[in-house]
Order: sequence, then C-alpha cells, then structure tokens
Amino acid sequence: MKHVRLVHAGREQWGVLSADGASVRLASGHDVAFDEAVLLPPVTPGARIFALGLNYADHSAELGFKAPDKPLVFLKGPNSLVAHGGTAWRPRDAEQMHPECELVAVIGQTARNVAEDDALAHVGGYTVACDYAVREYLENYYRPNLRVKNRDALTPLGPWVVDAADVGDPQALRLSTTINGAEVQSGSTADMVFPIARLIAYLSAIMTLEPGDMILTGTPHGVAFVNDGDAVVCEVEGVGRLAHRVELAP
Amino acid sequence: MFAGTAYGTALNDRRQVAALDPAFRAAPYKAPPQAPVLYIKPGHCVVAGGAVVALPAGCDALGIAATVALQWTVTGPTAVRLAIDVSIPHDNFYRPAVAELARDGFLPVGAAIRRPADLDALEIVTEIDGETVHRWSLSNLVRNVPTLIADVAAFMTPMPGDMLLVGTAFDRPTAGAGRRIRVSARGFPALEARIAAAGDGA
Repeated sequence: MKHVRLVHAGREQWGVLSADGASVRLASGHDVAFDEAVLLPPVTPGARIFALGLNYADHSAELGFKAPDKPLVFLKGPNSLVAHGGTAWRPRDAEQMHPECELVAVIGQTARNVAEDDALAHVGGYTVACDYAVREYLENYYRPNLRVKNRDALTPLGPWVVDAADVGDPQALRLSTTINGAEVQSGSTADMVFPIARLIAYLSAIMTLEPGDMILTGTPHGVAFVNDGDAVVCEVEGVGRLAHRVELAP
Repeated sequence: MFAGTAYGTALNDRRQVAALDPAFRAAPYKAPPQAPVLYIKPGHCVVAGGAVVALPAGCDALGIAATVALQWTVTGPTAVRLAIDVSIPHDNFYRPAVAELARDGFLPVGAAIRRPADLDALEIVTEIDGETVHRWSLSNLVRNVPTLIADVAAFMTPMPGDMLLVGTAFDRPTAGAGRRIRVSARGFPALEARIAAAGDGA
C-alpha cells in the first residue's frame, strides 16, 4: 500500500492510494483525486530526519573524497521538506544547486541497539527524496552545513510512503533523476557504502529510533545543476516517482 | 516528546573563535566560519527540568553548556528559556557531530518566559552539586541575539515550536555520573538536571 499525506476539508489527513493510482481513499471513506489532492511531504510530525553524505563510492570519487570509514550522518529539520508537485526555490545568489535522488527508509518500530541482521525488520516503508545541495554555501564546519542542507523547501520528499513488504530487497533498486526529461543521475541502491541495515544498526546504537524517523540514504554519482523553470523528477524503482519544479526565490 | 526542532549555534563564543583562529585557517577548515554554524538537536533530545541525563556507554563525563534557547511562537522568537546543551566533549568541527550532540535527553530545558528586550549582558551561572563552577555572559557572543536571528533567517525559517540555542561557552564544565546540575540567570526560572550512569534510572 502507498500512504499519502494531504490536506483535505480543512485538515491534515493520511489516505491510501488506489490500485490504479488515480485516487486517495481517506479514513472517512471519501475519495480524493490524486491529481487534485493538496499533498504534504509524507512525514510523521516530530520524526527525526537523518541524511547521509558520501554513501555511494562513485559519488564520493566524483567529489574528490574517499568513502568515509563510518557513516557521515547529518540531520535535517522539517522546514526543509516540500511535497511532490511542489517548488524548490533557487537562491538568487547561487548557481550551483544540484539534485540528489535518494531512497528514504522510514522506521516502523522502535529500534535500540539492533543488530545489522535484524535491522531491516525495523523498516516500515520507503519513500523518495531529492536532497538538494547548494555548493556555493559549503563551509568546512559541521559539513555539510545547514546553510547548504537545511534551506526551506530544498528537500522534495514523497509522493508517498510505500509499505516495506511491497518493495522487496531495498539494496537492489534503480534510482534516477531527470531534468526536463534528460537523465542526469542513474544508479543502484546496491552501491551504497553503508547499506540500510548497517545504518539502522549504527544509528540505533546512538539513540532510540522511533516509528516515523526517516533515513535519507545518500545519492549516487551524477552532479548536474538546475535552472529556473526546470522540471525535475527523482525516481526509485518500486517506490515512487517524485516530481517538482525549480523556481528563482523571490 | 517535544514536537519541534531545536537548533544549536556552535562557534559563537568570541574567545573560542579567537583562540581557534590559527587552526581555522588551516586544513581541514581552510577559512574561519562565515555563516552561523548550526547543528540540530531533534525533539527527542528535549527533556523538562529535573530530568536525568544518561551517560552513554564508554563516556565518563558530559559537556554541560548552560545557555538560552530562543523559542519560536506564532508571533516569532518571542519566548526564551534556560537550556543545558549536553554533549560528548569533542574538538573537531569538520563533520556533523550527531553522535556527540543529538542523543536522547541531551537538551534539558526550563520553563519559557517572554523574551526580554535585551539579553546582551545576561549572565548564566552553572552550579554542580551546589558549587558554582561556571559563569558566562551573553556579552561573549560573536553574534548577539538579534544578529543571530537575522543571519539564521537568511537561509531557513524556524517554525512555531522550534528553538534556537544562542551559543555555548568555550570553557564549559563537564560532569559525570551522579552530579546534580543547576543553571540560573536573573529573571529566568532556574533549571536542574542530574547525570546518571547508563541504565541507572535514566
């Protein structure tokens, strides 16, 4: 099942996407046409949002880094998220804004000191993120710094959370990004330096993961820059196709 | 659990930035910081005054940085409270220090009050087991409160419920298992916390 978060009839709700993808069934029994739904990023309010840097060896090499010996984890605030169909705003003083397609694991049950072998059982579902970086703002303090990675609406996320049971092996999924239909990123989750199970084991030794917590698992190679008016699509096989536009910030 | 997000401000103590300036001009930093250096303490870090903070396994003492948290409301950053920014001591600022800063319970906070017009001279006092061990004035901040709010707003928008810690002292004390912490500042409700060994009632 695919779980959609939206605003309908004046309040935030969650619903389930129909088999043909045309509508969302709400708990009340109402159906909302998917194309007309006012979507929200499918995040549990209050959940932690972890993200990974340099978690694909080919992307690290492209940036001139060697792959790290422990996960390069950073955190994001909910201000950074924007729903499928939304707009990511390019800052007026920056040209080097590049999209990063990522598989997102959503925790489904409490995880504390879990072993890698048991870790995937703690995943409830998956979604897709485009974790933009704005390279002009990189500084070498707590890098990647929040001015690069925690800007308002520079992390499109969605369109939905799909049940983990419907995805199969999360380390064998194709990821891609297109800008105006042209492919700029193509990779496989098989190439993660730290696979999802190891990330959950690592994080759960530091803190107690709770249902809804999200792990943006990093991006493969392909550094491309976006321009105003671009239509960007990030897709993870079997999870979803996340579309958004880029516009110049006011 | 606290539903908002807390943002901390690193490298906002003038003496710290001056002392580290030579290091900041060398690798891996290569230049002193320009924009505010922030970190995230998710809602799971936030605990009410009187809480017990657990020492992580393998850690003998925690950094105890008494500070002021600005609290966003629907009308903006109009409230403040005392906070204890607990950390595992670390002196490398190159990569995000999630394991050192963002653990469960690592941000005890006091009751919120209306933000005073001027916090520039506020002195924050830290006692451990009844003895005053540290005094720190917000006159030490590189960016004072209004400047910090403006410089953060230039790249992100805190939402109602979010907090922003205004900075932490270079020479913060540390405290190990069993220590009782008390933080006070004129006009603010005092804040207490206790450090406990892992598994000791935490």
